[in-house]
Amino acid sequence: MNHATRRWALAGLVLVLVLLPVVGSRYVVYLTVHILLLGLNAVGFNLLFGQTGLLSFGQAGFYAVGAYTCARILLAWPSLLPGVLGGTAAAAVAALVLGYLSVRHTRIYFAMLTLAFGMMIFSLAWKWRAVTGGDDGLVGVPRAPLELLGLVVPLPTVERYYYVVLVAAVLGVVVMHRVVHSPLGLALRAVRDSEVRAAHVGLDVRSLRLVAFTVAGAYAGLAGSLLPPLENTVTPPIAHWTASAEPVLATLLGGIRSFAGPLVGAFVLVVAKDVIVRFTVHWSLVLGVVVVVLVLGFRGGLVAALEGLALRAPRVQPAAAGEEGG
Amino acid sequence: MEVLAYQGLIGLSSAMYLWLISAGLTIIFGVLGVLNFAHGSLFMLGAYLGYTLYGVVGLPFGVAVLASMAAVALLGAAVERGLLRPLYGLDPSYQLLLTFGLVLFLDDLAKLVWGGVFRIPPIPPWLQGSVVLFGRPYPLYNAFLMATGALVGGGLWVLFDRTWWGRAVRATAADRDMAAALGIRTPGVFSSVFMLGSALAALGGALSTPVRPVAPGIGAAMIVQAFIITVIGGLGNLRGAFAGSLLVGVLSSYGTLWFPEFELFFVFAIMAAVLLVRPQGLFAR
Amino acid sequence: MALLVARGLRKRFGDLAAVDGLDVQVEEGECVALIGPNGAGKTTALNLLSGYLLPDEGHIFFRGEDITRLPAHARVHRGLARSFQVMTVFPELTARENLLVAILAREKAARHALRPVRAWRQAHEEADALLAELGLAGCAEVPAGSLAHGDQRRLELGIALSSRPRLCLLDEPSSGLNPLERAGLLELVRRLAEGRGVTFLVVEHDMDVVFGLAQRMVVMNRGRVLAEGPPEAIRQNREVRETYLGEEA
Repeated sequence: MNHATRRWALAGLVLVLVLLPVVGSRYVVYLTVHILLLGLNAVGFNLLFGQTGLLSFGQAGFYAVGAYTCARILLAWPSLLPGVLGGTAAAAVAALVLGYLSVRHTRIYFAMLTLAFGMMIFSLAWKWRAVTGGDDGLVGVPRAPLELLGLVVPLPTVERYYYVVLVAAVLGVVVMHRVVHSPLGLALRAVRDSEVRAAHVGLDVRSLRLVAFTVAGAYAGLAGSLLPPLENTVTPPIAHWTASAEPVLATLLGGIRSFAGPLVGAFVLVVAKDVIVRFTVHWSLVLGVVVVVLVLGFRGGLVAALEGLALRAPRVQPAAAGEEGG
Repeated sequence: MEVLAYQGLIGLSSAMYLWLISAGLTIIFGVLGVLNFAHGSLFMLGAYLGYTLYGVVGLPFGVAVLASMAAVALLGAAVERGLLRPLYGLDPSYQLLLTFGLVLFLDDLAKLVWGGVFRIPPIPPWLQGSVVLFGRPYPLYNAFLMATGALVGGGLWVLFDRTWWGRAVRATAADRDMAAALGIRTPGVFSSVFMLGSALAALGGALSTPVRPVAPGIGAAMIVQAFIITVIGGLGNLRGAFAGSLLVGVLSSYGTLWFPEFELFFVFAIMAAVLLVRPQGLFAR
Repeated sequence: MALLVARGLRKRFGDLAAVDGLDVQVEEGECVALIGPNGAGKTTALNLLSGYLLPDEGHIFFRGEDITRLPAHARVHRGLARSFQVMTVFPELTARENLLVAILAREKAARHALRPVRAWRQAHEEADALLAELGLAGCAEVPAGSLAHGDQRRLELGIALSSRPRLCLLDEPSSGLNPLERAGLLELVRRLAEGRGVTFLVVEHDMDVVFGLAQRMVVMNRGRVLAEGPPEAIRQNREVRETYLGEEA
């Protein structure tokens, strides 16, 4: 796909997203919020996995740190911005501290360590009643108004809140796009390709991994802190290791080597889940098969598969262009 | 003091489930280099099959246990040959992801086939009753579990140290190419090791049915425990898995006694600490 | 003042002392070959000097500074680069990116997260000029992992030189090359060394390469220096001949 087509597709996508509350039902808007949250989480995760080569099974922990922190802030001080920023910052700090310890290892040991840290966060969410509300979670979290520069914007409807999430997601994606194309991004890919060679061109491998881990944690935390104002509650299952798999699956589904992959994956995952759930409660049965098929046959993910099709038949208008670039 | 000792014994018997599942997990990792997320689901399948064959169909307990082991071992062979084999040589992340897909599939499949939570079938008559230990009645079934765990441990030791097959497996684990050059059929070794590990997980699951409720979530709960143990014992280290199982079983038993709120946190903190300070495991020589 | 001085380096792996009291000195501007039979500890010695491994004992001074415990990346920034015996490029990055990442790392630009790589114009020019010098101008956009073996060897040399090192350690730069490619690589190293004033310390098995390249040779055996001197003297050295012939007999 050439540059101009990409631009147009991107503009079309943004237009659709902006007009969505006008043309779509409340349910579609609600679903899109979930796509955007998972997309943010997955885009952050892919900086760690696709770019830096580290598979984390603890992203749910940082998602939960963001969500619980935001919920506690909003319960005490009903203003959206401090909640979301506070949640993101708390997740970033948690990722910085736990990342400092985790990046000593790679591959399986790294995955195990992040799993352990994630589950430590889960057990806190589950058992530390005084702070987290235990297995009941935190309830009655307000969708607090957005207060910015003396302006107070109440967010009574999902449609209004959607725009907050959309702005956050677009900002997050644009920033990540820049990071990936910066010298830092190049250095991270170098670390992924060969840790030893990277160290011997003068790159501080551990610090670079820590940066990627912290940024990924902050993205998970941002997505997490945008959740409680939508749902008005936070409960421990969001922190469980099985929840960590969601950004992993979205990224894998869309493709780890393309920038848009995690976003496409988040879209497909949320929509497919919504559709399949109408026919059967056994949604993860289907998902399990999809994962196995992807790993065995389509490790490049959907984006690579579609690009492959587009290459073979250049005349065909690429149908998935809408999701590209995001 | 007696409370402590008694609590320790309770911990030891629950350590046996942990031992059975981690033994398989660590053998498979040691030989194939695959960390099998789905190993907990194999435990769960063993439990469901054991429950059905013993509790519903009414087969004798021992027969039900052996039959579920055989069934899960066959499934393990199919997974290894059909799904994992194409992934050897790729980044290990893909193996993790594949077995994770299997977790989703198998756990949901169990829900589809067996539905929600079940009643616990009665303990077989010959294992009912109790013995008196430290002035308290100690269930005979727990003693049976410990005996089985010890027996499996001894059996594995004989199998790996005293048989031709064990030597072939150890040679394959040490150096695949060299083993193949020596005429060992390494694909066959991989399959048989995966089958053995699966059967051990199923044994643990089937043995748990008379005392623990079977539910779709037990696989996910067991696998993280097994991960903790194999990490503490050193990935691929069978002796370490045994010692790690005892340690975690007993510690979480005391943990429930002393920090009921933070037992889970406690074991994961130990796992993280071992990974950070001694990634080769506490029991590596 | 010597460029590099190593004193009493020791490194054990279990019961085996791979490097056992090594003393080496490299002067600015020379090209030194480190040779020795298999298992003499040459690669371990390079790994200690480059910071890939830390020694159990001994000291390493680079331009007068004690760098014994510095991590590899910090040594690169002080002017000490290397190549590897088992070829090590960044396989999924393009040939140009392979050089760019080394150049940007040298310029301490890797911390820039929000400006695109293409904003570093000079780095691009430098990378393209070096690609041309290496004879890889046509493959700038090709992922390094898809390059031919000989091309990857030259690219790796380019990566090491992109750090603008004062001292470049080369671990068997010609391994896996055919005789023709070997001669080409030899010529390339010589030309690059002259143009840049780089000092080389080369571990090499191929004696033609060694004698064609080095002004001074250091012979290692059993983890320490057996002999050193100009190539002709080494060729005549009885101890060296015994070690080699004894090995090969």
